[in-house]
Order: sequence, then structure tokens, then C-alpha cells
Amino acid sequence: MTAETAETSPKAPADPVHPARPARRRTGRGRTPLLYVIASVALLVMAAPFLWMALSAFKTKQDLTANPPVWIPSRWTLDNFTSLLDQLDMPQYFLNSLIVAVLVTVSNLLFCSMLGYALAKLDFTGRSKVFALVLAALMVPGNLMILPLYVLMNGLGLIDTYAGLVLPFAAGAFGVFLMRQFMQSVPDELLEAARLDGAGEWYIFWRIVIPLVKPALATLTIFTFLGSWNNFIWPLIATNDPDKYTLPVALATFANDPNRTVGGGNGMLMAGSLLVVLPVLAVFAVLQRHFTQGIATAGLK
Amino acid sequence: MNRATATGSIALTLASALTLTACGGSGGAGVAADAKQTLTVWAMGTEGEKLGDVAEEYEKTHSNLTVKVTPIGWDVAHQKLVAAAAAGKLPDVVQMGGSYLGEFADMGVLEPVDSKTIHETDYFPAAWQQGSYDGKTYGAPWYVDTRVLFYRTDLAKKAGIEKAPATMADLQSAAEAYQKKAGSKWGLSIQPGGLDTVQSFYQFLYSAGGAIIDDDGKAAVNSAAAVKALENYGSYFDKGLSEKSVRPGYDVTKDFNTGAVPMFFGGPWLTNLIDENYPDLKDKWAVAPVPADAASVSMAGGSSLAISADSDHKAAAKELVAYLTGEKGQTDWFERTNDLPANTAAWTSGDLADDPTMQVWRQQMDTARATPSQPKLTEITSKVDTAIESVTQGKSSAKEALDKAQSEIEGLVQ
Amino acid sequence: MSLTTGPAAPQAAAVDKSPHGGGKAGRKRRANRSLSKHNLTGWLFSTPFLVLFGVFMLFPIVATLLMSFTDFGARNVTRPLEAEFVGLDNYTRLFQDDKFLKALFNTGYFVVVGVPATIVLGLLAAILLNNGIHRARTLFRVGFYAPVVTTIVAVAVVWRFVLDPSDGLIASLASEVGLTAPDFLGSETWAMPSLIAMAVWRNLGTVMVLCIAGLQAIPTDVREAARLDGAGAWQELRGITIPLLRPTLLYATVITTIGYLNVFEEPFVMTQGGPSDSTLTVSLDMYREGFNFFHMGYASAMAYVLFVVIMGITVLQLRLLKDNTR
Repeated sequence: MTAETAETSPKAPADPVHPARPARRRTGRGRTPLLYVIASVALLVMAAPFLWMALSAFKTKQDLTANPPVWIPSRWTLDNFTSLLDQLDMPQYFLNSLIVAVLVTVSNLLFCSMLGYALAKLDFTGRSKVFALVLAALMVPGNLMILPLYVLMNGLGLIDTYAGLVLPFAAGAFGVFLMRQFMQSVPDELLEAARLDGAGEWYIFWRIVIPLVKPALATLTIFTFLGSWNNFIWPLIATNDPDKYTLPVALATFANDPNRTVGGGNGMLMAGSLLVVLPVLAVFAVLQRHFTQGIATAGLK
Repeated sequence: MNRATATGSIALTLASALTLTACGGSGGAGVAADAKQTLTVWAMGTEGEKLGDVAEEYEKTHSNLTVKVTPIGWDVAHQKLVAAAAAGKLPDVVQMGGSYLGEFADMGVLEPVDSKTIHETDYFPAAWQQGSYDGKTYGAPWYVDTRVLFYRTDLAKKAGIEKAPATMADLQSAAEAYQKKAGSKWGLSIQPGGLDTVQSFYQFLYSAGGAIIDDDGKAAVNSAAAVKALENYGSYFDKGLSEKSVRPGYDVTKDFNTGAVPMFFGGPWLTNLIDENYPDLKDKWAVAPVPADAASVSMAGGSSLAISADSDHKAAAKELVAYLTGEKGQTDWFERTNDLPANTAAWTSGDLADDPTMQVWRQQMDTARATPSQPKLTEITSKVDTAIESVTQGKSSAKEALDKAQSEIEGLVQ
Repeated sequence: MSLTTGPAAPQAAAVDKSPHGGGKAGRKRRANRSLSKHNLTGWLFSTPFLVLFGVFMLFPIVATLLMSFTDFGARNVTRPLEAEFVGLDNYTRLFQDDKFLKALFNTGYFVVVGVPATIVLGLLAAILLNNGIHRARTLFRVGFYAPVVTTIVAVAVVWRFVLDPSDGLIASLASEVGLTAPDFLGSETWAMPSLIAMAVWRNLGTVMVLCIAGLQAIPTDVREAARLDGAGAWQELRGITIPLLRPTLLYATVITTIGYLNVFEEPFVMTQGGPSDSTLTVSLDMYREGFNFFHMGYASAMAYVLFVVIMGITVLQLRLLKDNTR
């Protein structure tokens, strides 16, 4: 059963005078199934488009264009996937996306935690200025920077390279800000104690702080991986060689094509989108397990 | 700091900003056509993918060449082309949609076509005009596109319509008949507003004898003919014959299939699409030329192939373009894509010569009017979009809306 | 220093003081040492970010800023030298441009309604999935996060089906009970609320994930103690969860606000700004001016106006939500 009922029940007999208490307990008990009903309805609302996409990937052309729309394919087919694999070099694009996303994620985990830690826990001259810069970087509307960035990267010879796809995103301001917020919950006493023991700053960061912020790191991993995986405009502009295309760029060659938006192309687009989304959902499903009591239990005891 | 130095310093910074590598110098003589080399080609959407197959075939007969085709999505192509132009990184050969050509020609990044291998008389006049800007031709016509009337023949019988509407007056009475007698929800599908509404208005505008920019290159969107056309267009919404709100990405073929929409103006690719997606609809629909007003004039669209001014492989690129836009290449391309050939010689054999449906396209193409090649075309047409929307939504009269558009467009025409 | 962030803060502060209670000399030396040391470490830890920022972001930012004072247009792509310096013209024109002002208003509407809705629902979802739901938790979490990862194209297809005025989901439900649903995306009144609903739905998963991660920092014993004191669910939420989640909520609010001020995808795929510009946002207007019409100078000015607005709002939020290391 839930922790809640387990906690309140021993208390109740000890407190017979309060008339409100038994009533509260009853609602407490009755609430759990109700919560599941609410959560399930919400789940349906939240996940419906995803289900639609997943189911549509297996539909025939007739089902895709049926009116009124059908949810469950009347005949399941893999045609959308086979024609997709036929027309696009999916393994190559998948590999490109993966390389870029992993490099971006790893560098963000490292660099953003470093600066996040410094901003949250190290008192240094100019800290507020660095933080202001991070915030400013966060607020710059990115769309318009694309053109000058392209010219710059071209000058550096980074067009059509993995470096060109990774470096501009290797230390995102969002990540720094996120880590700073989470690092604030790390108790200062721990750091001070370690310093008194003569531990070096890198040691404190790497061995004490990092293990304490695992939920934050899991969050950052999810966000960065997702961001990189779905990133579209920059890889589109920064790659001219199809061998360096990432998945979304490759898929975009179909989307909004006047010859394809209507009818059959939709199925291929859905199949492609499903293939793009699944790895991210898998990463999320694995990492969300790390949302467990981290700082509190480890930090205080 | 006076104005000149201010301008100078800003410009200098920008220049260093934007020309880190942009000035590579335009390739000079470049590489000979038969030397070993790699040609890069960018093409959009389906064309981009299908062109890859053609490139493989082409390599077989040109063993010195590697032809690398990069497909680009339509909705992002413009941004990518602009970035490439800014960095001097355009490919040797690039597909140019009609609406881009004026802009890129004006930037000076395109090489004029070689008049020795590409001849104006081989192509539909509208196709040729689309590749031209300011008296020079930069794009070799590759494929064309126009709009004709798609209508439901089975419902027409029910509605007592005996033949395809031949005039604009017929069109409206047909729409009414479909709605009243055949139970169609709407009479005709035309776009009420939003981006590129102008594409569905062109049929009305051109047929009435109007234009956005007249033959002398002047803005003419508030001419009497244009006002009459827009009044006619707007009347479909006033009378409830056309839907007042249509979402972006609306798929008209779905409603055509159910009969909710019995008539619409559509492009050539829809023929196959309807056949494939709605096999039950076979023999229940047909295409007809745009109903005549002063004349029957449709819009011409399509793409041309241009060579980058910076290319080092111009000689080989010219040969490739000449092949793709020549009779043989055009026939082959039609078989692969069903894109309508721009080269009229390709229309003399096979389906293109015999099929009655194809003849409707051919006939419409002969008189179709090209969108003007203007560097600010997108902006110009967006003003017309706004004018049309204000009329279909009943916010303004056709005359007022077009007068306003006219004054805005006058400042944009070059 | 931080006094209010974590549950451990009061103790930490107390501990903090004790070493300083030692002899004068020792105290001074330690203070010196740790100060200088933190300076070095602080800057060393900042270096990777600063270098990457300096190399890849500074130049585009400066270039765009300069462009905003010129009439940079399509021609100047290959001939940047010919761009005319126009001073503040772009900026003054902006504030006489009805379209831009409308876009600014629409964006404000989007933020004012959308941000609180997203944060509240995201927080509730997090509490529900963290404390209420124990069985099939992974399924629920993945399901709630699915909108965030689902490609916008698929999202658009389904939402159009939901909102369709003739045979959409809501329209059919409404007609069951004898009501008529409005033409959501076709009406100037309903288009914006529809887009907001869609954005809330798409983004609450992100807030939920942040809050779930943040909730892990709240020790179970604090909660237990509160319950033992007879705190109800509402009191627990107000008295413990929200205060202790403050750094997380601050972050979630700031990034959601920034994201919504930049809102682009929803109107782009669903309405293209229509009907009659009722869903035109600043980002969409900027995209059109910059990439469709190629008024780069004008669009850059727009970007900087938007930047200033975002900065103002963010600073205000940091103040109001009492960010503690400022």
C-alpha cells in the first residue's frame, strides 16, 4: 500500500478525540484508486498523439486517408518502414545523430556541472557577471544567429563535420542554469568539511558534489540528448553532404513536400518520426529511474 | 562621427563578418568538362531523391564524373540556399523554384544560361520567363506546373451539370448546383487566407486579364480586371460556396473523395495521388481547363536549374543541365516523376502526346502566366494574400483591399 | 551565501560559523586561502563555457546587433559592404508597425496564460507521479513525457483532428451533449487559446521532469514530520513542497517563460499566424521578415527588442522568486 495510509493509521487510535482524523484517513484511503483513475485519464490525453503516430506508422494508404480517421489499422503493414529504409540511408543518419547527441550530452554534463557548481557554491570575483552572461546567452533569440554562425563555421572549415554540429552546443546556457539551481541544494557543510580535510577543489567537485546531484544529471542528460537529437535548423544549414545528415534533417526532405504532404507520404513520415522518437523515449525510461532520493539521504546522514 | 564613416565602419565589420570566405573569386576558366571531377547538385523534396537515380545513370555515360545530389526539404530550402549564398558555398547546380530565381539572380550568385545549348524556343514561354530576370536568363526550365479544375463527374450528373464549367459564370452556377442538388457541403475549394492564398487566386486574376505586375514591370494589382476577379473570388465566401477558414496543411483530396468538396484547382501531381489513394474514386472525376473569363489563363509554376556563378565545374555542369532539360532527359524525367516537362519536344510522344488528361495540362500550359521574377516576390505576394483574406473575411471591399496592396507593392517592385 | 535553498541550510549556516570562531590568525588565513583559491577555481570552472561562448556565440550576436542598425537585405548577402547604416530607423519603424505590435501583444497573451498553466499542471503531474502513483510509474512518466518528444508534425496532425470544427474530437463530443463547438483554429477568438492549450500540453512534461528531480531533494523525514503534525495535503504542498522546490520552480518558470516568449512552432504548423494575424507571434513575424522577405536588418532589430523584453521579464522573475545568490 501507499506510504500515506501506512503512516497515518498507527496515529489514529492514539488520537481518538479528533473527529476529523478518521474522516481524513478514509479519504486518504479512498483517494488512491481515484488518483489512478485521474492519472490514467491524463495519461490517455497526454499520450494520444504519440499513439496516433505509432499506429499510423503501420497503416496502409487507405487507412491513412480514411474519413472519419481510424485509430487502429484495419490491416497492419510494414510498407512505410520498408519504403523509408529504401529511400533513405537510415543507419547512417541514425549513427550521425547518435554520435552528435552523445558528444553533446557528455560535454554538457561535464561543462555545465562545472560552471553550475562554481556559480552555486564558489564565491569568486566576477561570479555575478558570469551568471549574467549565462542568462544573456539563454535569452538570445537563436533563429537569427544562424546565418552569421554559418559564415563563421564555414570560415573555420567546420561545415560538414561532426565538430561543427557539436561545438556550438557543447556547453548550453540552459544546462548551466539548471545545474546551478540543483547545486544550490548541496549542503555547504559538506564542502567546508572536505576543505578542512584538505581535499582539492576538483576532488570535492568530482567525488562529493557530482554523486549528490544524480537526479539533476539525469535531467540534464534527458534534456540535452533530446535537444540534440531533435535539433533541426542548425544541422540542416551546417551539413551539405547527405552523409553527414542527422535524422530530422533527412526526414525533412519529405515533410511539406507538395507531392507528399497529402496522402501516402504521411505514413512514411510517421514511420520515420517513430524511429526518431523511440531512442529518446528509451533514454528517458532508463534515466527516470535515477529520480530517487539523492541529496537528502546521502547528504545529511 | 559623420554618416559616411559610420556607414563605413559598420559595413566593414559586417563585411569581415560575412565574407570570411565568401569572396573566393568566381572560378575563372575552371575545370574542363571531360576532366575528372565531382559535381554537386541540390534539389528539393521528391525531385532531390529522384534526381539521385538519374545522376547514377548519367555517371555511367560520363565516367569522369561523380554527381552528388543533395535532397533538401522544400520548406527549409530557402534558408539553406541563402546561407550557402552568403558563404559562397552554393553547389555547382541548384534547383530554383520560380519564386527564388529573381532573388538569387539579383544577389549575383547565378551564372547566366549558355545560349548555345539552351534555346528559348524549345520551352513553354512561361517556363522560360520564370528562369529570366532583368533581361537575362539564369535558369534552364526543368519542369513546369500549373493549375486546372478538378471536378466530380458523378456528383455533376446528380446536380444536373452536363459538362465542365467553361466560363467563370458557369463555375459559380456549378458550385451552387453541387451544393443544392448534389448535397455537397461546399461548392468549390479555394483558399480563404494565409500564406500563398494568391496561388488559388491567380486563376481568377489571370483569367480576368489582370496581373500583380503588368508586362511593363509595374505594379497593377488594383486594375479594374483585378478588382473584378477579387469580387468574384470573394462572392464564393459571401454565398457560402467556399469554406471561410481552412487550416494550413489542409488536404483537399480527402474532402474531394467524400464529396464534401466537388471542385478545386489542383496541380499535376494530384492526378496520381488521387488514383493511388482513392481507387474507389476512379471514373468519378475529371480535369478541365480553368473556366474562362476574358480568357482561360492559369498560373505557371515549376522549377529551373541554375549554375552557381562561383562554380569551378561550369563546363561539366552545363552539359548536365543541357541533358536534364533536353528532350531525352525530359522524357526520362517525366517517366520517373510525372513532373510535366518544360521542353515542348518531350510532349510529342507517348502519354504526353495521346492521353486526353495530359492534353488538358498541355493546353493550360500554353497560355499559363509565370509569376514575375522579382527579388522581393515573396513579400509582394504576401501583400496580395492579406488583401484576399480581408475580402473573404468580409472586412473590406475588393477595391479597398487592392488599393492598399497596390500602394504597398509599388514600393517593392524593382 | 545561500541560506534558504536546501533543507540543510539552517544547519549548514550554523556549521559555517563554527570554523570561523577559532583564533584570529587562523581565521584570517583560512579566509584568505579559501577566497583566493575560489577565485582561481571559479574561473577555471567557468573557462570551458566562456571559451565556447566566446568562439561560437559572441560573433553571431555582435553581427546581428550591427545588422539591426542597417538596412541589410537579400542583396547584401553577397555584398555586405553595401548595407546602409540607418541608425535607429529599424527600431523606430518597429513601434509604428501594427503587425509587430499585434505580434507583441499576442506573445504576451501566450506567456501570461500559458506559463502559469504549464507550471501548475507540471508540478501537479510531478507530485502525482512521485507521491501518489506507485504502480506502473515508468509507464505513467513515459506517457506524460511523450508529448515533449513527439515530433511536431505528428502532433499537428492529431491536434488538427482534435480541433476540427466539423468532425473533430471535441466537436463530436460537444454535439453529443447538444452543444456546438467553435471553429477553434478558424476563429480569431479561439485560435490563440487553442494554441496555448497545445503548448501547455506539449511542455508540461518538461516541467514535470524537473519537478520530479527536484522533489528528490526533499527529505522524506521532513515530509513525515509534517504529516505527524497533522498537515493536510494542501498544507504540505504550501508549507513544504513549494518552498523546498523553489530553485527548481524558479528554473522551470524562467525557461518556460523564455521558451514561450520565443514561441514559434505551434503557430507555424497550426495556423501560420492566422486568422487575420490573431496568432502571429514575435518569433513568427521575425522569421517571416528575416527569412521569407529577407529584411535581415529589420528582423535583427526585432530580435533585440525581444531580447530586451525577455531580459526584463527574467530579471523580474529572479527578483520576485528571490533567487538567492544575486
